Amino acid sequence: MTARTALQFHDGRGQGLSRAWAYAFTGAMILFSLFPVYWVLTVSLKSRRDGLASPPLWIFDPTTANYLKLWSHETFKYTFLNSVIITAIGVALSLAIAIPTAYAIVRMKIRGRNLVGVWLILAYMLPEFLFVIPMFSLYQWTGLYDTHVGLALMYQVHVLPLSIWLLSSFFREINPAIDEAARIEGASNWQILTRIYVPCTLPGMAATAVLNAIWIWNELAIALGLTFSRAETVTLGITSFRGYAALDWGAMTAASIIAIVPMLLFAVAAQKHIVKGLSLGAVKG
Amino acid sequence: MRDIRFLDVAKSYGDVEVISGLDLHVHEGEFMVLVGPSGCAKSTTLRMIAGLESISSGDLMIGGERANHLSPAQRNISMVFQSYALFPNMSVRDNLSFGLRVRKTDPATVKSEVARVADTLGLGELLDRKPRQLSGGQAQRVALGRAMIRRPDAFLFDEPLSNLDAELRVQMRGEISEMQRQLTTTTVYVTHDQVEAMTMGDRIAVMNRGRIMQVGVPTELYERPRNTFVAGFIGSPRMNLLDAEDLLGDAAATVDRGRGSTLGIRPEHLLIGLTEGAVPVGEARVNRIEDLGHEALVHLGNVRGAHLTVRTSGDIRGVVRAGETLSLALRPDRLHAFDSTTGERLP
Amino acid sequence: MTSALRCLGSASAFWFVLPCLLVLAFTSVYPVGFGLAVSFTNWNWGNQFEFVGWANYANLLADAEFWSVMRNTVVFAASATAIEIALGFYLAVQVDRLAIRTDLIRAVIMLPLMVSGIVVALMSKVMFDPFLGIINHLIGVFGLGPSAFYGAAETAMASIVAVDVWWQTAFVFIIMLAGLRSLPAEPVEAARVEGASEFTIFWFIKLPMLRSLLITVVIIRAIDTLKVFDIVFGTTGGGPALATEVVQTFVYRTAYSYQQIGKAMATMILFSLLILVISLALQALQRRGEDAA
Repeated sequence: MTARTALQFHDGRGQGLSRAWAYAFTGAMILFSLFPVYWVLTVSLKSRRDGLASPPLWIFDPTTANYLKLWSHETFKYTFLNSVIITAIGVALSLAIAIPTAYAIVRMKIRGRNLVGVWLILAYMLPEFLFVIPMFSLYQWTGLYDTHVGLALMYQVHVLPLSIWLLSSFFREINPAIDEAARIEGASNWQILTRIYVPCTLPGMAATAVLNAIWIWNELAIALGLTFSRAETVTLGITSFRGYAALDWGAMTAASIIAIVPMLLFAVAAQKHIVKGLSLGAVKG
Repeated sequence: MRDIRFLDVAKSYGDVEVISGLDLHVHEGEFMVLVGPSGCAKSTTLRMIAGLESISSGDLMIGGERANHLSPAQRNISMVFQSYALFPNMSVRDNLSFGLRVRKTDPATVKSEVARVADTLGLGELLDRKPRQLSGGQAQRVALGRAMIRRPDAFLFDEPLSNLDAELRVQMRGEISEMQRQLTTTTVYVTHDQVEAMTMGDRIAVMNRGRIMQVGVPTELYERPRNTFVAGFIGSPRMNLLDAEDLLGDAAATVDRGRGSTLGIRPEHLLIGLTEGAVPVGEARVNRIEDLGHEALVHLGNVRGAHLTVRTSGDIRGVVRAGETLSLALRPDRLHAFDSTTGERLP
Repeated sequence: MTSALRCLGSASAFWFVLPCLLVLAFTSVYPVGFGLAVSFTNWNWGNQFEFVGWANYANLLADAEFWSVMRNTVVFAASATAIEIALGFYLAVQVDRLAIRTDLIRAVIMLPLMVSGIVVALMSKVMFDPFLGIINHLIGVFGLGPSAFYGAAETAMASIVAVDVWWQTAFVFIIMLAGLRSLPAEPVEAARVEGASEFTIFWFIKLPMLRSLLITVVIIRAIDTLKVFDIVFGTTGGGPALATEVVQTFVYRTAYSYQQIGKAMATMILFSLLILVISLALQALQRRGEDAA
């Protein structure tokens, strides 16, 4: 509050000008961020003839034909459903594993804690195909290839390190005296975790879950390497429209918009969580 | 109710020894205060009783049994933390009953015990609130309630009042003392505040640098401090401690054990002007007067360059001014004599 | 405290971290170990599985295509990271100065970040279409273009960089804005009382406090752009004529189209080492700055 007052007090004419520039620049960046999504949305609502008009039409007669066509496109519907299932499994798995691990890292003494930390960073930063190509044969051999669970499991290589970092920093915000109080009251580590830590960090859990869901939903390379048909994700479903991009913009853009919508809803509903998660990940990571 | 006993206990972190040769016996039902400056390891001592710190060597006996390797849960003690450490996600009711519930007490008992404690501490209205909706004093009461409800063998307090404002602190001081007197539960109370120590403790253990300097009832610490540390720590403003010659000059020879020792005289026992039966200690110049209204602290420098503080009634207002010279005196029976090298009290 | 918990908790600590260790062992230690072994063979997914020593590595290092792929990757990563950092940070500074609530602004600017890479790629194909795309139409209004974008070797890389900038600048923006917002007010107010200009305050007070965070963001963006796959795969597929082929698309092609698993894994190992070296160098830079401060 005081910072803002001081700023206004300091406002000369030069300040006013540069303030105007700040608004203008921000406005331009908002336009830059929104316009492509807006444009693709309009293309998806155009008839085939309008979509291929030159010069491009700004005003047109919107039609839902592309979405209806997509609705009858069995493969795309199937990949969308697959992504919902895989995202759910992947997020559940990541939280189930990361919660006890993060608690142990923050509040227990673990030998080789640094080694685990380095391992997590490496797993997070190394390229996908380093993991995917060797897994291809093992997955075929074990029957995990082209399954929901197999893909969700492989996604842990990325979402697990991120989840553990995030949850550790949320857990660290809890006063350690609360652990001690609970321990004196007779609680075990597991009881402290499930009855105090988890309920106390629900917003942090939500942030972690949302970020993991976004990452899994949008992932392409691992899905490409480890699925074929049964467990194909929505990103692969969309990739199949790539081939005839020039011919059928309508279906491709409609599919893109539909794949964006769940993440868009997330972004609106959990903006604060996402921002908190991203920032914490950068600051503590 | 059980007694707590340290037998030659030491505690070190790596190579750093923070506590050594600790011997202390807290009797059954006693209110023991651990007091000392920050870093004196009083909290570590308390946390060893709780089982939150391991013991490097020696024995901790609770109720006559060796407790070194018991987990906090097995010790049947309860603890009140400086930060209260209430469980933020639970209502007051659930905070109070947490310990009973994790011990699988039957729900009817839990309910009646919560009612009993809430009644005792006046928490009835607050049972459904979350900790963040409580004032400091209310949170403190909930922490007390959580400690009481299991009827533990001992209460541990770790600076429980230091987050409260002055008025509330006085009130809670009384309430904790009262509660302990009624329950007669063995209590160890850590504080850095000597007023809390003097007013609450049955006995006080003064600690410094991981060692116990003196254990005794409050008046004993005040009247017969065993060394210069305790002499300086107990009492406010602190005792004047100086070389006998600096305090008395040539008169040092006339005082018992006066030669070559360190002498202590409390500010309230230094007298302004000559009084019958008092030994004159010469003239001193007034440097500064701190007028507190009901009393005044006069800071002086005597002819031998030593600094002295005198505590006197507020009536000297307008009578004595900075820069004036006063003659001081003291009663020899109020003098404390210490060995000037070891700091130990001379017999 | 921790030392006390050791005797209380080490047995249960093991059970707490065991699932994590198992999953990471399965999903990362095994593939990296097996992949490293495979990089010394001529495996083709099938029966051909012979030890070939350093041959894969030697062939790669002598292969002009490998070096051109490496160069493309580094050029892409360096330009995309530089532009995203500059643009995102500058935007954060501007938004921080606005005297209105910025939650909605932040939500809108964050939108591209929520879109998957493959969707971003396909969206860009619609917009960058040389004949029917809106971008050529728009720049035509200013008398520029038309450009072939993905269609020509000269413009394809720049187009992909532009797409990544649209996609990921918000990440830099969000974190730097959070960093700016978390700065303590007193040093800035003290400087203002001393009569420092806004520029001086930014350059000498805010920027040094944000330096470490900024380098962290650079590290994250650098690693992420080096690993680029989706937007290349979804747009040019590496073309035209390998002008935009990057390491991960190259490896995908080598492994899944040409079945040269040994060569693919050798590339991944070399590339992983490059990523390690770059991130260690940036971290050293970060640490040196902290020591100086």
